[in-house]
Amino acid sequence: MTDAPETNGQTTAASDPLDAAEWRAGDRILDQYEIIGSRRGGMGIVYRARHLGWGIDVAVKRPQPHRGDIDTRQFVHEARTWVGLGLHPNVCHCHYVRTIDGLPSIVAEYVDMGCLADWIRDGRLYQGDRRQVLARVLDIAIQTARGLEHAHANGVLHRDVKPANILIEADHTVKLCDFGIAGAYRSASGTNRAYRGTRHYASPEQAAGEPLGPASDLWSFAVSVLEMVVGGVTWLAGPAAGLALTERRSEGPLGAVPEALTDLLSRCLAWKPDRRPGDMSEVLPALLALFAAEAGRPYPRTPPAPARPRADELNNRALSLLDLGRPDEARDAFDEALAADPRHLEASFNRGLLRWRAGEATDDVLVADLRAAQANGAEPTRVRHFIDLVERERGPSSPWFSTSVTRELLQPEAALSPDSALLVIGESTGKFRSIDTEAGTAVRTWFGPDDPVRVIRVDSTGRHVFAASIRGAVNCWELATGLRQGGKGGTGAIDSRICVAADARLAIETFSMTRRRARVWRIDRSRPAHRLAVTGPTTAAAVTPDARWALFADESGGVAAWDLIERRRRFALRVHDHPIDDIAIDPHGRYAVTTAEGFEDYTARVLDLREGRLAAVLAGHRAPVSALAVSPDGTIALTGCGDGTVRIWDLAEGVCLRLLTGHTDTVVSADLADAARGIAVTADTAGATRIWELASGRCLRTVSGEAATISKVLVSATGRLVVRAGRGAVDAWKLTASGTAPFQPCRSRTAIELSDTDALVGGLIREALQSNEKGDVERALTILQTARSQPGHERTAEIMAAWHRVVPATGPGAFRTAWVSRLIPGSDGDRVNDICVTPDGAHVLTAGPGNAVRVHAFDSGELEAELTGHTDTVLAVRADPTGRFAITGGLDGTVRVWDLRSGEQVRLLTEPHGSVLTVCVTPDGLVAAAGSEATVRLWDLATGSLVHSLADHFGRVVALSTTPDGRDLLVADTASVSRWDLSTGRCTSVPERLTGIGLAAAAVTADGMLLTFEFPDRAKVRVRDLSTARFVGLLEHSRSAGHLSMAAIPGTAYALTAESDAVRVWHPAHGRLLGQIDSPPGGARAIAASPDGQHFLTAGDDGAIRIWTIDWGSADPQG
Amino acid sequence: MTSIDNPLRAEMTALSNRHSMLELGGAFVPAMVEESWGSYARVVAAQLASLASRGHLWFFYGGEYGGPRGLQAGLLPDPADDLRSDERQLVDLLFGDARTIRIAQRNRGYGWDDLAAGVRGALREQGLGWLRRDRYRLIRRLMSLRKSMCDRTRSGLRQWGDDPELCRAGVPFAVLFNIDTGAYHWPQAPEEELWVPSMLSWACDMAMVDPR
Repeated sequence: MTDAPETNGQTTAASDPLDAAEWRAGDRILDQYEIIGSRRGGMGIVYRARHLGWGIDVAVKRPQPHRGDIDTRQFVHEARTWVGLGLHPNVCHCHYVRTIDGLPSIVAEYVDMGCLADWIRDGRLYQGDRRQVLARVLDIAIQTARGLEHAHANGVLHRDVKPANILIEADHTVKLCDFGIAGAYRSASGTNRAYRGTRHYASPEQAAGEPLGPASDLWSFAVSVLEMVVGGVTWLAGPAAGLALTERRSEGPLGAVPEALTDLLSRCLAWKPDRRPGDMSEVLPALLALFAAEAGRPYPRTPPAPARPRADELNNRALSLLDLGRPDEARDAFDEALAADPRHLEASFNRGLLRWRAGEATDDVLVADLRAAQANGAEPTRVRHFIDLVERERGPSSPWFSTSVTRELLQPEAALSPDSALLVIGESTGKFRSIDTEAGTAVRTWFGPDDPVRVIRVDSTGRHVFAASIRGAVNCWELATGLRQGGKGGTGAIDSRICVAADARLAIETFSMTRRRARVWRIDRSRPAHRLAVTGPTTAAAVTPDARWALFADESGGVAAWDLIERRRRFALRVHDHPIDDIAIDPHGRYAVTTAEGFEDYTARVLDLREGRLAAVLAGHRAPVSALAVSPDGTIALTGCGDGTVRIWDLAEGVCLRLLTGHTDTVVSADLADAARGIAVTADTAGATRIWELASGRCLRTVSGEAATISKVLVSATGRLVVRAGRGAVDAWKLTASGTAPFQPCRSRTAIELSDTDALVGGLIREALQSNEKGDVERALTILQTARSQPGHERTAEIMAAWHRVVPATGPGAFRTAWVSRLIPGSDGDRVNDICVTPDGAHVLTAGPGNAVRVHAFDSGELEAELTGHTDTVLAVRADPTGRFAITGGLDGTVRVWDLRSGEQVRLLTEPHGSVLTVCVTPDGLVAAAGSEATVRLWDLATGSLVHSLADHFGRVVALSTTPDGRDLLVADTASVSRWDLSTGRCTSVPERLTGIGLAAAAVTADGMLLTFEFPDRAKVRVRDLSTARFVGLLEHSRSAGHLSMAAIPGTAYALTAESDAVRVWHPAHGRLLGQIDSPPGGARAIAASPDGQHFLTAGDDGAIRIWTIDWGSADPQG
Repeated sequence: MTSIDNPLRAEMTALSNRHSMLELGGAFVPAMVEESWGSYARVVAAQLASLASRGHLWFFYGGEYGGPRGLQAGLLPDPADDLRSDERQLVDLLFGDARTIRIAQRNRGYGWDDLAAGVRGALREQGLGWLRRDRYRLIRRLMSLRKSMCDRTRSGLRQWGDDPELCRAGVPFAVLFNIDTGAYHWPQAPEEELWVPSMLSWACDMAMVDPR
């Protein structure tokens, strides 16, 4: 394989086709193909080339460079037809299509024994006695007919069947090629198309330019057979071939032509299409009978079934479709490839690359997918190579330069000079540095007050830097010399906030808690220049560099705009209903954007400063706006949100230009380059810094950092430099034009190879299942492992179905890996609170998003029903043991029972203790338990009556579960897990007692291990044996930020834990980690395992539900 | 090592079998290093620690950390033994009808006086009244035990796993002798087995004197 930057519409040294020269023997193309020879055809040039990556010869077919646009369009049409034709042993296989030097190029199977025309011309067809020759002719005719039958079955007319397009391999296998003027006859029928084809083989209707059907190909086929019989073309045009047949019945290489063959050809050469056989399936039996009669033996070649493409072939097909300008079909083909093999490396890479470039996924998700493929046994060097390709496209994640700063509680502040040549860093110790951004070296170091820096500004000349400290001191230094140019001391007020108008050399001090009046300081003087009639508390303030516009927000949600130069108030407006939290102002003083405090106002609002009015309400976020930025040119704004989304807004129109998704936590810092540059940078509380390309919505690069810290991020106005000031270091990245990663084709196999492997694997599966039925599980697994080792069959649905039938006999053993086999998409903000699978494994039930319970088909993921009735968010859902009913609870304080067949609510159980947080059904299906604040209530499902009320729990009930014997109910509240006798409703023991600040999740395995974990120590899951109350141990793993959810795998001693970084599989009784996989995008807010233990489901913050297939090993190697 | 082989543990067991921690503390008060106003709380804390080690109750912060004011106790349904009368009185005083309580909020006024009076009466009935020789003997035994426990903590008994039986038996005494925390302290149990919070006596003190 090559990593040359060439394919799929992105490359090319010579993108103009007219510049593309013809290749010559010996040329090496893109370090991937070495040209051996060439041959000019009707539609283009066919090169014989050595594929250097695969070590085989391929045919590379390209349009002739100087034939112009029409030829290229025809060629693309051919390529599309060929790619859509599928795999058949008698159709020449198209490996893939890719654009090279601006021209589409078909890379196809190379057939080295020439075409039928060559065989007729040089007499190879006629070697041997008459019987042998006739058998050879009929063999070729039968195979050609089979190839045409396959094309017609796929809706494709060849339109140019002739000996030159019938290739013959060494074993006399025939392959039909050159679908250059082929077309879908279903769409072509009824339309009058201009004549195209080869004169000597054209049917009468083709010659007349009339609509064509399979009968036309049948005519051409018959003419080709006639040519074989006659030994050459003795007719001027195809329509006259029928006459030639009657004239030359007793002449030619075969001598007397068998009567049956003559009759068959006569029928095929009937002038009117409707007088000819209907299709090839009518011709084939006659040919087979003729072969048996003339050769004296049955026809030896078994009817070939169309080969089923595997992930490799589907991946190549997707790439070809992508190159042919069919991106939607290409995506479908990638999905098919990944359905065939969910961990297919090339398909994972290609689809991930496609989604990344379209802004549908982030770069780190792509890399995580590749690493998951490696965890599943993909060759590490190939994975590394693919990751390197991604790295090349996104640029190195290591910074251009990094400057260490003192590690303090408060992060350093930073600012860029207008030309981005200098970066000024102010540490919380009062130490300042200016860094040459080109060299990455410190230019100057100086010291300000021993006080954390809150604000740094560089004036528009780039000569002076201003810094305000947390205690209100403001200083100015000359950047070139580091000499102090003036400043004021701090007032020491704890609620003091400073804004700096660098160009006007003014600082404004406001007070957020007291009613002190705002002060304006001239930085070169030590006394306030004046005080404004702005009385605190001021919740937010902002000023333009020239001090012409200063905005002050009060507690009522109002904003007052002042001109500090003329010292007059321009206007005052009520903007929000809640106190304003942040203001970002356009440096040119045209717009300002505000956000409000609290959890009730999710909008940002745009003020038109010149007209003194509220210009727009920026609505769309589903959580409070937590980050705000306005571009230096004042045309666009960015809002970051608590739900991890980022929106870009047009300030003049007030419309959302783009929604950027990818952050998994609250976005806390953001900055924008000029709109023309279209670069934004954001940082979240999980430590991720993301650089965005606004034109495509694509996350150009993700840089991970320390979680739970708030890093300040900056981007230069030109968008070429990004800075992150985090705890312990200030890092900078250069954004330069990077290389484009090429899509990766696979070495595809021929139809015969695929059919042979399919047959082999099918046989092995049957044999394994037979062994399994006889009780020889070990042999069955050995056979299945052999089957799984066949290329393309590692994870196919058939193999996995057989594997899942055999593995339970031994019990799941080693965890090999898991992959997403189905994705039920959702949208950001539509969070699923709980998830379960019905005991029959047929349905997936989700609590939420919102007030609805959704029922999805487990096998297809399709939404089957939406159960509505809850008047507030649904928090919990469980199915009863029969799988017929669902029990749900939610914030509306009700427990509801639903009939899953009808989708009707069959029972409403009110819960007087407030929200229902969790529900559970006893194994006999008679009783439902609902946990709320400090209370659990048991309901008789048949009558709807209250059975027991289990009161006096501490805090809210976190989880409910029955013991493995079904006799007791386990109630996990925030401090303990207590055990209650279901028959008496009495507490019998408290097996787990927690001392921290709250139990967060609990689960019980089938072997009676109780798993709990509590905040804040989420890195340790506590395991206790329920039968003995003995503490078994801790499941310890890496500490990571994010929610942790747990689930036991039914019927096993295993359990799953899901965090933001990984989903882990445990054997709790042994305290052993069986394996882990990277968490899906959006994490796993809820996790559940299917009843058969072969799947698990995750519901992430991205609203999507993922159904994972677990690949269990056959035996647990450590018992 | 069995309990008979371990004289320290044998002494603890003998004292515990004969007296509740309330009684032992009541007798030991004059020898305690605590300020007088804190000694009663420490005796009660030692009794609660004894009950926790015997599976009658457990301590937790639950939901949020609030220092001694937030410390809670919960009754367990399956204790290993029965309560003595003064222990029952203490449990009733603290818990009332509740299963879980915030210790510092159990300000029951005269209830604490009644409990103390009951303990004094019990000591008198056992011949351990003021100026009785046996009372001084008991105090000397306890002082000797305190010295032994302190020596033990200084001489290397640092980990619960070194001698879990001895450590468990010593937990209430460690609270009573105020060697449950500090630079040299009695080994603390793994949290998942037994947790006696360091602020227990402070929370008990709040329950007795803090009007909130």
